[in-house]
Amino acid sequence: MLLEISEEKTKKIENYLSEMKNDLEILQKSDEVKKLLKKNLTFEKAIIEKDVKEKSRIITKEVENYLKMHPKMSLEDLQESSEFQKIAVQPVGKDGYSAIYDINDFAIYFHKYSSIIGVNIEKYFPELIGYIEEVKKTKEANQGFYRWKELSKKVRKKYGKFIPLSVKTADDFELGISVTAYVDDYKKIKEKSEYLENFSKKKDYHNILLISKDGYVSYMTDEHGPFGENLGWEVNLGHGLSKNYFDVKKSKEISFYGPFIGSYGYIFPKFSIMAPIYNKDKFLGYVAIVNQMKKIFEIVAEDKDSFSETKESYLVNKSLLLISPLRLENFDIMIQVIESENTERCFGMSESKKRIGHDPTGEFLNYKGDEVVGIHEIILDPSWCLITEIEKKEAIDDPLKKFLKGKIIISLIGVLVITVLGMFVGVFFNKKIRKTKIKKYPKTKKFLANLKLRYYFLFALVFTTSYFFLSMPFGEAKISTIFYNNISILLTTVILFVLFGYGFKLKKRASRNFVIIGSIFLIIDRLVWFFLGVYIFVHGAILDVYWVPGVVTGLVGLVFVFLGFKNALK
Amino acid sequence: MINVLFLTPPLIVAVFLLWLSTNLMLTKRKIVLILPFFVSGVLLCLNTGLGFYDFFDQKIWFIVEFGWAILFLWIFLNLKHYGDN
Repeated sequence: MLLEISEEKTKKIENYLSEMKNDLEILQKSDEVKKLLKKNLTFEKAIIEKDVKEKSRIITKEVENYLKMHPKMSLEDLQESSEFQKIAVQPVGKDGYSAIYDINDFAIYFHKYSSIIGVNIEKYFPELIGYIEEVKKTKEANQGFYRWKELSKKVRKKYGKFIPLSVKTADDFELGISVTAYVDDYKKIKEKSEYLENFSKKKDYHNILLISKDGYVSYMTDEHGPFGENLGWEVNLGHGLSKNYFDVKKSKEISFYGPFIGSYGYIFPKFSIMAPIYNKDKFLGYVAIVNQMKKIFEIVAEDKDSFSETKESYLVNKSLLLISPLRLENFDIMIQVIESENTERCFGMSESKKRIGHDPTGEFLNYKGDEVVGIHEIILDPSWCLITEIEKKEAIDDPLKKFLKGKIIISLIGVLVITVLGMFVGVFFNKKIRKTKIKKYPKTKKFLANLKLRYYFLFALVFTTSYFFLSMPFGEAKISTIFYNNISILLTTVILFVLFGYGFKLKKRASRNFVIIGSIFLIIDRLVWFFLGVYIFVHGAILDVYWVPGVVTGLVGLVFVFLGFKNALK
Repeated sequence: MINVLFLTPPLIVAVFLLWLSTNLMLTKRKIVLILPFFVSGVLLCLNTGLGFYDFFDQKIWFIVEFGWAILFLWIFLNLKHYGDN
């Protein structure tokens, strides 16, 4: 049951991902995409404005929070604090940065370049002073474009936003933040593509991106996140898209990445799939589809058996981070690590094959330390693992108790009814059997009949021990686990060998044949059963149909042995 | 559905063994000779029931299989003492 649920969900997720991959392959071959990637990239005012606005909002909040948390720190203390320095001076775009200055006397206190610290803006950067004076006068943020002379004397055009801080330092300094970026850092494709817009709408994708060969996110159907920016910039290295970009850049193949937290304002994490684009061996850039994890969360949370109280499924990634919500606990996704035997076993073995090296089902302790019956399924491409678990108490203990209470009584009544019915049938057939004479056969003088039972026993011991070790895939399965699971099977096999040997000593031909053939069938059944057990332990679950030959052989063997036994009775 | 297909043959065999045990009762055989038939019928029913409810706990199968080992040993000893050897 657990296996079926787990396999069904995995299949649905794999189908969903494979559909995305197919769509990406269509885009990869599309002439429209190739045409767009060949176009020259241009600057657009709105991109830099949006990026600076977003960064300034975050940095201002961080700085103000720090000042609120440290009300006793003077300006000097802040300048000495490396923690505050990291918050105050953050990268924006490729070469841009944030800085902090005195809102009243325009002195710079925190800056990327130490040579500028202490410098007066009014004196050295006259183009900026207009914006800053406005901030001082209105106590409100101001922004605009200006020219900036680099330390290398090169003049570059910049865009900046200047914000007065609402919190003062302990020694009453009123500070302001400047968040500035370089205009020539941002690039995009000027045209809008109807084909990509329609493709995205039709397939309900969150975003379709084009990335230039040098890493610029030059096109987005939904212009959010690092639009117009380069994925190789230091500021973007932590972004999921950047990681996906570097994976594809390295492998030159289609690659999944995720989930990752995208821009602010989205509830669901996202994941992406990216492919390189070539035009007759000429590399043009990359295309990517970004989607939200919503649909995958829905598949994972699907629950047909709503009566179960403790059954739940969730996804973890290769770092064992929880990447889908839990049903029973309110753990933070993308933050909480799920370190359990089940999750570790999932990624513990080779990546090239599914579930290799271990049984996917088993009894484990879950993330809460409760005993659960669990199963894991690896989804190879994005390296996710679907974990499905149910508390052992609910899965085995409670049903077993109910079974023993209710079903056993019903079963016993059933058995008694069948037995009584059988008695009447038996009366009918017995009359016929009594009429037939039992033909006796002379004692066989063959070698097997004369062989002592102790030799059969010894042979059985040697055979089963050898079989045990020959079936063992050394190094991959633990001897102890298989041994304890299957010792009873081997014990039955030894007894069946002795029964087989004794069959030769029976006088009646019919009983002799029945016992010998029946024992052989039963031995085959046990050996197949043992082997399949080991196989599942090493290679994972198998189709139910593989059990059929063994079960049928075993049942036929059982009938034969009992017929022989009945016949042999004096 | 698959479960039903898988579990029907053992139940048929169980019924057959129980019929054999009643047959032996009618011929007034000793109880030690009849019991293996009856016990194996019940064991098969138990096997089927456990399979139907997906009790894949190894300990349960260990005990059931141990039951089969004892049963075959019982048949062997019966054959040795009461058989036509």
